[in-house]
Amino acid sequence: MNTDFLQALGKFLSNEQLLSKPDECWAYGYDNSRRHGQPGVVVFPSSHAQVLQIVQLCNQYKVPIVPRGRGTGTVGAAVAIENGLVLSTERMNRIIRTDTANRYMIVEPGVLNQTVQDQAADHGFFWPPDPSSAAFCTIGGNLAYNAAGPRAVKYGTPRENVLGLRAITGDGKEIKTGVLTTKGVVGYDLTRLLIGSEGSLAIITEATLKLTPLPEAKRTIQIIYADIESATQAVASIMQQSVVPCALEFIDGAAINMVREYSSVDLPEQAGAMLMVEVDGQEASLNSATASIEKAAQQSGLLSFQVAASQQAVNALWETRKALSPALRNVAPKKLNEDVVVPITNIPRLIHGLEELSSRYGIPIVNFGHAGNGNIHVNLLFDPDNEAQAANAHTCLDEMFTLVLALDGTLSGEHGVGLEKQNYIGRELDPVAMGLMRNIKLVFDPNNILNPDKSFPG
Amino acid sequence: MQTSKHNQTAIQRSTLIDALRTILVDDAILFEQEDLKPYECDGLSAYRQLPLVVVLPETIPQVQAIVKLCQQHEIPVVARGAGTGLSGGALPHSEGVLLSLARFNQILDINVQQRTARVQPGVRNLAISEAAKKFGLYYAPDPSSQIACSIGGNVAENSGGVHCLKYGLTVHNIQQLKIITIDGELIEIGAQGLDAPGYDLLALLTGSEGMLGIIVEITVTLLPIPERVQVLLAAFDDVVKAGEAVGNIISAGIIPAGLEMMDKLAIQAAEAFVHAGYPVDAEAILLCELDGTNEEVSAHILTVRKILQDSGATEVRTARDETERMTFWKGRKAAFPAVGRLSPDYYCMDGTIPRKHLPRVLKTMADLSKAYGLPVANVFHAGDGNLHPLILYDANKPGELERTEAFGGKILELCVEVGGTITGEHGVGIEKINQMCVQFKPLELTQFHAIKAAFDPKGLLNPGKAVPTLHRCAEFGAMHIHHGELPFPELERF
Ligand SMILES: Cc1cc2nc3c(=O)[nH]c(=O)nc-3n(C[C@H](O)[C@H](O)[C@H](O)COP(=O)(O)OP(=O)(O)OC[C@H]3O[C@@H](n4cnc5c(N)ncnc54)[C@H](O)[C@@H]3O)c2cc1C
Ligand SMILES: Cc1cc2nc3c(=O)[nH]c(=O)nc-3n(C[C@H](O)[C@H](O)[C@H](O)COP(=O)(O)OP(=O)(O)OC[C@H]3O[C@@H](n4cnc5c(N)ncnc54)[C@H](O)[C@@H]3O)c2cc1C
Repeated sequence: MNTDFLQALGKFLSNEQLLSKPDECWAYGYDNSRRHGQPGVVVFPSSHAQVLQIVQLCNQYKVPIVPRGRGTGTVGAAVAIENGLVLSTERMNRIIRTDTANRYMIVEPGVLNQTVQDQAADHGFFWPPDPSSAAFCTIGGNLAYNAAGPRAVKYGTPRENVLGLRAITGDGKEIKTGVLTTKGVVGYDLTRLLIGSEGSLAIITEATLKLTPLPEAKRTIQIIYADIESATQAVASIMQQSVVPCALEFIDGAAINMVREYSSVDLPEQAGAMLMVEVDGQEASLNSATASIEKAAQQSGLLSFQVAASQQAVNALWETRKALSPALRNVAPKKLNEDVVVPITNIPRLIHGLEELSSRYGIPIVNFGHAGNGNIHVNLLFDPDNEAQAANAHTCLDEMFTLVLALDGTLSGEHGVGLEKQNYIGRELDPVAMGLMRNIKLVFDPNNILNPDKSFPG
Repeated sequence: MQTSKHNQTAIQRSTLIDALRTILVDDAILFEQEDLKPYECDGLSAYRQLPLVVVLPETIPQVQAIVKLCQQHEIPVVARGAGTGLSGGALPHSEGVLLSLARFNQILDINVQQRTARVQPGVRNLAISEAAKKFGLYYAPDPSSQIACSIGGNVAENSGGVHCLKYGLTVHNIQQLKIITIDGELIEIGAQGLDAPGYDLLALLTGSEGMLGIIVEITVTLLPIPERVQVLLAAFDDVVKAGEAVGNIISAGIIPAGLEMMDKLAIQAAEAFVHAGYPVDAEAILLCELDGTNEEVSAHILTVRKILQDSGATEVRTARDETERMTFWKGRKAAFPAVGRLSPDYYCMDGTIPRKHLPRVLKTMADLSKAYGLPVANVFHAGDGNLHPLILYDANKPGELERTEAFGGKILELCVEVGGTITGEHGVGIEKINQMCVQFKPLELTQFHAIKAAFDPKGLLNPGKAVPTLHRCAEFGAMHIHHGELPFPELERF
C-alpha cells in the first residue's frame, strides 16, 4: 500500500478507524459468496465528511474502493479488491431522526435492518424490506442490492420504500437525492438509480426511509397441493383477487421430500407443492380476507387449506418452511443458492425444466421462494469438493440461466449480480442498454474507483 | 444540454420534409401553418411555438427512422402525447420536429394472470382501466386529466392522481418500457416482476419529460378492483385544523385511497358550479376515500370519523351510496373549472411539502394572499402534501400578472424552505425551470446534465426543458434580487 496514501488517511482517521496490517484486514476481504480478496487497507469512517475525504483521496491516489456493510451478501459485491481499500460503514450506525407525522426515518448506512425495525415498531411502524438476514445486514447493503423479502409482494422493495439519499459519488462529489414527501417529480430519479447499483456509482451516507404503519393483525395460512400446476394456478388467482397477501411463499415437491426426510413435520402423502400465505390489516377485515384467499385457492389439486388459530398454530404451519434450511445445509453444506425471477404463470415450466436438469446432471435441485413475485430460490445441492459434481454443477447452472431467460425471466431477483452473475447478465441485457449503463457509470465514477470490475462484464 | 448549435447544421425544411416522405405517408407529416397550429402548445398555453414540422408515426420502425434522421441532421425532437401537460414539456422547438404518439393508440395485450397490460404510449390513461374492467382489474394512477392524457405522457411526467397516496405514482405501477434512443435503437428496459440486473433505467426514464428517449411501449401493472369504496366528507371552521386532521389520520396508521382538501373559496366555487352538496360556510373540507374489503372499510370509517371529530370537524358525513360518493367527488374534480369562473385568469401551482408543515404553509399562504392582494383558492392532494394553490387574477389589470408571478414564486420557495419540492406531479418543463435552481445545488444540476448526456450527448431530445443550465440559474438568482423583474413577464396563464 502506498505509504503517502496511508499517511494522508491517518491525518483525519483515528487508529481505530484504520486497519492496514494484512491479518487485521483479512476478515474484511470476503462476503457470504465465500470469495476472498485481500484488502490493502480497511477504513471505518464515522461521518459523511470523512467518507468524502476518503473518496477524494482514493481518486487522487487511484485506489479502488469497495463499500462494505456487514458482508452478508451472497454474490460477492462486497468482496475486497486486492490491495484496494475497503470502506466499512460499521461506525456510521446512527438513527438520525424518526418523524412519524411524515412517516420517515433518517439513518446512516451502517444501521442494521433489525435496528430500524425495532425503532420503528416503538412508534407503531415498520420498514417493509425484510431480508431473512435482517439481524445482520445493513441498510446500506439492503439499498445497494435492492434486497427484499417475503413482504415485497405487498409492500415493495427498497426502491419503493426510500424517499431520498445522501451520497458521495465515485468522483468525490456530494449529492442529495429525492424529497421528504411521498410525491415529487423534479429532475431524474437518482434515488432509484443508486438503489440496486451495488456500490458502483456512489457511497450512500444517509438514507431517508419511508415508514409504513404496522398492521393491526395478521393471519397465517398453509395450503398444500398435489402438484405444482395447481399451486401456481392458485398463486395467479390469489394475485388477481383484491386482498394482496403480505407473504406468498412457496416450496416445491423436492423441497417437501427433503423436509420429510430430515424432520418430523407431518405432511399429506401426495403433497407436491406448498404455499404459505399471510394476510394483514385490521382484525375486523381478516375473516373476509381469508375467505377471499380460500376461494382463490380452490384448484383441482388442493389437498389441504389450514388457517392458524393461535400463535402456536402459526409456528406449526411455518415449521415445514423453517425446517427446510437446516435440512438443506445437512444434505449439501456448500449448496448453490440462485435467486431468479420468472413471470408467475411460467413457474411450472421452470420447475419442470429444473427437474429435467436435475435428473440429467445427477444433482438434486430444490426450489422455494416468494411466489407472488415469481422470485424463486433455486438450490443446487452438490458438493464443490467433488470435482466431477462441481463441473456438472457449473454447466447445469449455465443451462438454468438459459432456461430462466427463455421463460421471460430475470437472473437476479433480490441478491444482486456482484461477481457471481456478472458473466451472465450480458445474456439478459441488450448491448444498447448496457452501453447506457456504462455511460451512467462514467458519469458518477469517471476514474472507475468504486467497486470496479463487478456487476458488469469488463 | 447547452443551447443548441442546431442552426449551423440544420437542413432546409423542404429537404427535411422530403426525407420524412420516404418514411411516412403524406397525411402523417404536417407542415402547413394551420395544421401545425393545434400543436403549438400543451396545457400551459402561455407558451406557444410552432415546430418546423409535426410527424404522426404509427410503427416503431417509423419512429426509429425519424429519430435517426433527426440525429443525423442534428434536429431537435420533442415527443408529444395528448398535450395535456401543465408545465410546457411538450412545447415544440422552433427548429425541431414534433413527434406525436397519438397514432400509437392500441392496447396490445391484457394478461389477466400476470395482472399486466401492454399498451402503446398514445393510449389514454382511462382507456386502460376501461379495457381491464371486464377482468375485475384497473390501472391505479388517475390524474384528473385521465380521460384525455396519454399513458406515454404519464410515464414521461411520472404523473400521480387522487389515488397515488395509497397506490403510488406512475413509476410504482409500470414494469417494462420499450424506448427508442436518440441513435434510433430500440431497447427494452425493466423486467416483469421484482427487479432487473444493472441500473434502474426504468426509474430514470420515468419522469424524464421526453429528454432521454422516446417511449413506444409500456407494460403497466393492473390491480384488482377493491370490493368496496367509501368516502367521508368533513367540514372545518379553520383551515389549520383541517391540515392537522390530515396529519392525524396519517399518523394513526391509516392509508386512505385518497385524501383531498378544499378551502372556502374552492368549496364555494365548486358548489355554485356543480351543486355537490358541500357545506358552503365551512372554511375547509376534507374528502377521505377508503377502499378494501367490506369489513376493512367499515372499520376504517369508524376510526377516521373519530379522528376527524377529535381534530375539530364541525360535521362529518359518509356518502350514503355510490351516487352520493360520485357527487362528493364531482365537486372536487370540477374545482379547477369552477374556480375559473370566479375570475378572468388563474394561475395553478403545483408543489409538495412534508405533510406536517401543512398548517404552517396554509397559514403563510393566507398571509401572502393578503399581502399581494390576490385571492388564492386551495384544492389539493392533502394526504401527499401536494398543493395546487390557484391564484386568481385579472391579466388586464396592470401589474396583476406580475404580482401573481411573484406570489407564485414565493409559494414554491416556501415549499422548498419547509423541505418540500417544487413539483408534485406536473413536472418541471419550461414553467418551473427557474425554481429548479432553488431546489438543487449546481453540483446536482451538473449531475443531471451528465446523465442527460449519457443518453443524448448532442442534446436533441426536448432541448431546453426540465433541467436548467447553470447559466440560467445565475440569471434567476439575479432577478431574484431585483424585485419585480420577474422571469417571463409576457406570461398569461391558462
Ligand atoms: C442467512 C442469509 C439470509 C439472507 N436472506 C436474504 C433475503 O431474504 N433477501 C435478500 O434480498 N437478501 C438476503 N441475503 C443477502 C444479504 O443479506 C442482503 O443482500 C443484504 O442486503 C446485504 O447487506 P450487507 O450489509 O451485508 O451488505 P454487504 O454484503 O456488505 O454489501 C452488499 C453490497 O452493498 C454495497 N454497499 C454496502 N454499503 C454501502 C453503502 N453505504 N453505499 C454504497 N454501497 C454499499 C457493497 O459494496 C456491496 O456491493 C441473505 C444473506 C444471508 C447470509
Ligand atoms: C385538467 C387537467 C388536470 C390534470 N390533473 C393532473 C393530475 O391530477 N395529476 C398529474 O400528475 N397531472 C395532471 N395533469 C397534467 C397532465 O395531464 C399530465 O402531466 C399527463 O401525464 C400528460 O400527459 P400527455 O399525454 O398529455 O403528455 P404531453 O403533455 O403531451 O407531454 C408531457 C411530457 O411528456 C413527454 N412525452 C409524451 N409522450 C412521450 C413519449 N411517448 N415518450 C417520451 N416522452 C413523451 C413530452 O415531451 C412532454 O415533456 C392535468 C392536466 C390537466 C389539463
